[in-house]
Amino acid sequence: MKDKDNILDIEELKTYFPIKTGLLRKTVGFLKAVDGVTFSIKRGQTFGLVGESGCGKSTVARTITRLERATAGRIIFNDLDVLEADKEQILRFRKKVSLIFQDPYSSLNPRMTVGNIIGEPVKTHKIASGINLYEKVADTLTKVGLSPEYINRYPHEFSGGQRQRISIARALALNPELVICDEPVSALDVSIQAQILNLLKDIQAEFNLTLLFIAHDLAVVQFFCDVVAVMYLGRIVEQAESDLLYKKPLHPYTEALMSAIPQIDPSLRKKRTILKGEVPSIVNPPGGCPFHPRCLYAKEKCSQIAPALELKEDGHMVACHYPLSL
Amino acid sequence: MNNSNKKADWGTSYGELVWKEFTKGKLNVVCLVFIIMLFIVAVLSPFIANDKPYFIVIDGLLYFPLFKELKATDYSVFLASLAGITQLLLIRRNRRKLDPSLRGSALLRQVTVIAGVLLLGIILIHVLIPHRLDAEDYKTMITSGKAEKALFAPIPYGYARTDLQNRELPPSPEHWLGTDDVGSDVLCRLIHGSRISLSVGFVAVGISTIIGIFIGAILGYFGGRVDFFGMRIVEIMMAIPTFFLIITIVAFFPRSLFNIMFIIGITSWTGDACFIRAEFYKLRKQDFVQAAKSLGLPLKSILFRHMLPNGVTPVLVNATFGIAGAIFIEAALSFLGFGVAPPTPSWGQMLSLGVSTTGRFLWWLTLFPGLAIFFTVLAYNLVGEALRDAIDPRLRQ
Amino acid sequence: MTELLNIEGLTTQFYTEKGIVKAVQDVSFSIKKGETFALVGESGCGKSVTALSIMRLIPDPPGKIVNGKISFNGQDLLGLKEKEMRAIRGNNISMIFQEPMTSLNPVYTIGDQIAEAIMLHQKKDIEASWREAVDVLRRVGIADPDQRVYEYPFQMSGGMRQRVMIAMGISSRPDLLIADEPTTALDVTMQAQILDLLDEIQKEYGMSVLIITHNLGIVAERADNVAVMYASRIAEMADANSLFKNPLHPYTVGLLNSIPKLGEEKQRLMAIPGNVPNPLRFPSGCRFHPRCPICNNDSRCMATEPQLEEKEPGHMVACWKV
Repeated sequence: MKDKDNILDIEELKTYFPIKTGLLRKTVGFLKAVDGVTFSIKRGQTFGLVGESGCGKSTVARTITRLERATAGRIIFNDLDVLEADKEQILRFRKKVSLIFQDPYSSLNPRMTVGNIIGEPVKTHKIASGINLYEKVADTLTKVGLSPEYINRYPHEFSGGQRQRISIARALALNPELVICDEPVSALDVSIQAQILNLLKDIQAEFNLTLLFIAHDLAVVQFFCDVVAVMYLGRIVEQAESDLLYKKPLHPYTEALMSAIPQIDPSLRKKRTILKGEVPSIVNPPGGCPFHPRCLYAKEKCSQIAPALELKEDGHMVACHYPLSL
Repeated sequence: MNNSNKKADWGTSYGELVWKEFTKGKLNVVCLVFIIMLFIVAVLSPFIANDKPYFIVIDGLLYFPLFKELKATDYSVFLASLAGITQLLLIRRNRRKLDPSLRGSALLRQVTVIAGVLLLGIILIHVLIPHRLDAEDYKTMITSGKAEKALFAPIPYGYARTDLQNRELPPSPEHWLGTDDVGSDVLCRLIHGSRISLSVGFVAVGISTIIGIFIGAILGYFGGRVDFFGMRIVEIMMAIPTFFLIITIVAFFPRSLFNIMFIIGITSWTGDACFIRAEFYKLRKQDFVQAAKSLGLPLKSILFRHMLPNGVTPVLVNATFGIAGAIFIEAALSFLGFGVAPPTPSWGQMLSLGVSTTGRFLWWLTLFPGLAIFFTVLAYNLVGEALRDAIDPRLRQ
Repeated sequence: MTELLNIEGLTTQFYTEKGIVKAVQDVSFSIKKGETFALVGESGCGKSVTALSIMRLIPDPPGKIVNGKISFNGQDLLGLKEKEMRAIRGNNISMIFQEPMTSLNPVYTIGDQIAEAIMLHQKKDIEASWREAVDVLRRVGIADPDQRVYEYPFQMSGGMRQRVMIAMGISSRPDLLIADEPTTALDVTMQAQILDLLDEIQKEYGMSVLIITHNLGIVAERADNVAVMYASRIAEMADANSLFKNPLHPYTVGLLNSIPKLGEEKQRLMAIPGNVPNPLRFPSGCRFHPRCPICNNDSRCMATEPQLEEKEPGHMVACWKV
């Protein structure tokens, strides 16, 4: 079953958060942030995960990096079963998988110099020490387009874009194989956003990295990624190569998401399908297909049976009973 | 990086930045100097106020009564301050000579060695140096012409020496701050009392802060069940009134300064633990802590390198108030007669002597120890506040 | 169409410890009755401060409107007393903010908050105000408004809260609604709903909308006229069609090129190099020249600040090279 080209395989991953109330913290229910997600990333690929806030995309990233405890499922990185790994294996896993956060203001320790922020992990993983460590940090800073002089500055002296570069440098310094970017550009200004996206592209090519790119902006994901998976209420509803997804969305949610993006060029504007209502609470997700209360094409079956993610045509997967344009 | 013998320049450390910011305020420096002066006075008190002369010539023979009379406690204090100064010098040397990536482990090594030497030294001192009591009155030796020559300390009185002829004297050129109800010089007792008051504050708060940070960090970081049961223990500890506990324990055990310091220390950490827990609770969700975790940094580093400096501010302020509080508790205990045993002086105990046995109110017996406590506590609080401001990079922007 | 708001040479500064921050400098534009005017720019370019200056909500100290004229319906806003200004705020000019979470008071029900605004501005009694609050909530598309008025802000989702904010803003049927990043905190699907709602209400009430945003897509779809701000000044101003079809200022061109467009095949984005300048130390001459691709070290760009000039009919640009 395991494909040799795959660097990461996620199988039926579930991350539930217990909802507790009362003095004795009795668990009264579960918040199903990630509810059965399956996907694979090929070596050297850029895999995009897109969805609105609360759809569980960030939880996926945090579960893969073991910042959240998975409730069920399997995560296979190379040949390592991440959820079953021992301490030593986890340490090696952490060296190979780096995480870049959304908010460049809170992801850097305000009390540490840039040199320490980037250097400490390098030291921990025994990649370099002493003067070599210094050179390594300076070198990494140059690679992300910052001057090595910045090594002894503090994060508050930098702008948002520069901080995000520092974040990238910190991830890059460990020579990772997989970099998980959790909304790396959504807190940045438009002009800076483009710089960071270009930088990520460059370093990906230079270091032959695999990227898991998480964002809420479908335009950015579509532009940046090879394969895109759309998430809704803790599940993947559609997955395809990015061109294919744009040209021929099969899931009504993808269609709506795409049409909602304000476009500058009138020729690119699609007919807008405005969704009714709001994203339902994940504490009480609707029965059947989770999207059916907002879906324009919902039929009776949709409210009863939840559709599974199925392969429709050349790598295009969708979880819908009545996919569009098929 | 083509220049291979270029020195690694990691820039100013956070500590240095805080120091720079701290020394910007003139008042901060004054307060710090005042506290350092107090420490110097406390350490050197036997040389400043003593009724034994530095040297005396009797029948053509040279004697050193002051040095001979130094107790094991005095030697321990000297050794401890020597160790402290050595450590500070070593830290400076580390800064200049060592690469920052190696400093941490070097510091740990140095601290262990110095602490070991210190402990061994103190034990040796207590075993080797006999307890001597030299009841000779050297001053009468001079006046009676028995001795030819002598050099006395600037304040030539002993804190334990009674002089019933000169009791309850107001300040005069002889006794600058007057004498108490048994005729001891107030200034002399004030100087010797500084040791007690300073060490009570420092040791008690040191113990409570370390316990508090450690427990608070664990509760806040792990949360969940650990936090739930941990907090109940903290609440139980909080419910025990420190002051009455100390009074009870002092009634059972010998009246010793170490008991008092220890009890204040192990009962007053709850506040610090709560502060640190609350800060860590907030911090552990912050991205930079999550980042540290995801980069595989060890727990020790996450807790104490990444989280603690960002959450230590309230504890720091609390510690300076705690030092003041401990001085007050000691003063109150001594006032009630549960403190250190006389004739060892402490400021609180001196304050309690303001009302003499004859029922007269002697203002100089209350005013001077009172002022000493007031200024010390004030200096600590101001330093604490300045440190809080200096430590926050956001306030600096 | 007649002019509703006319701003001339508005300059707002903040006096901080590190120096004078020139947040808005010599900004002039006018908004006609019933139109949607957009102020676009990146964070810190002065677009929000411009809005706050119109409302005269600049915190003083440290801020101060040092120069300029703001006339609203022929009335000079900067000359008004605070009391007179208060009668205009929320009544003739309303504002909705970016963060619906923090702009509603968490300890009052939304009914309380809307009814209070109505009572204050329309001098209605409490009952009529509450009835009006229910009506206006229904108008902004909140289901079961009779029940929802008794809810607290924390019981509502982000999109709901933004609807409540809009309800508060339009309750007095203002002539001008200032929307400061009204959808930045919302998801795309929610954003489309809220913007459609704003459009609808604007048409119905015939009010003018000043929309402040960093999202060029929103501007292109919704605005009639646009001013692009960079480093406290207006770099380019035109009607939306000609601005997006034929952007003249290199900054506008750069911004448009930095946005990934859906369905577009491109290896790299054309990013603007460098960082947004620090408002304490703006570059000399044209503020954009260190990042400008067409400046080529032109001495004029580096020494003298270009003024906003009409380069094409109705299309104003502040650039030496156009």
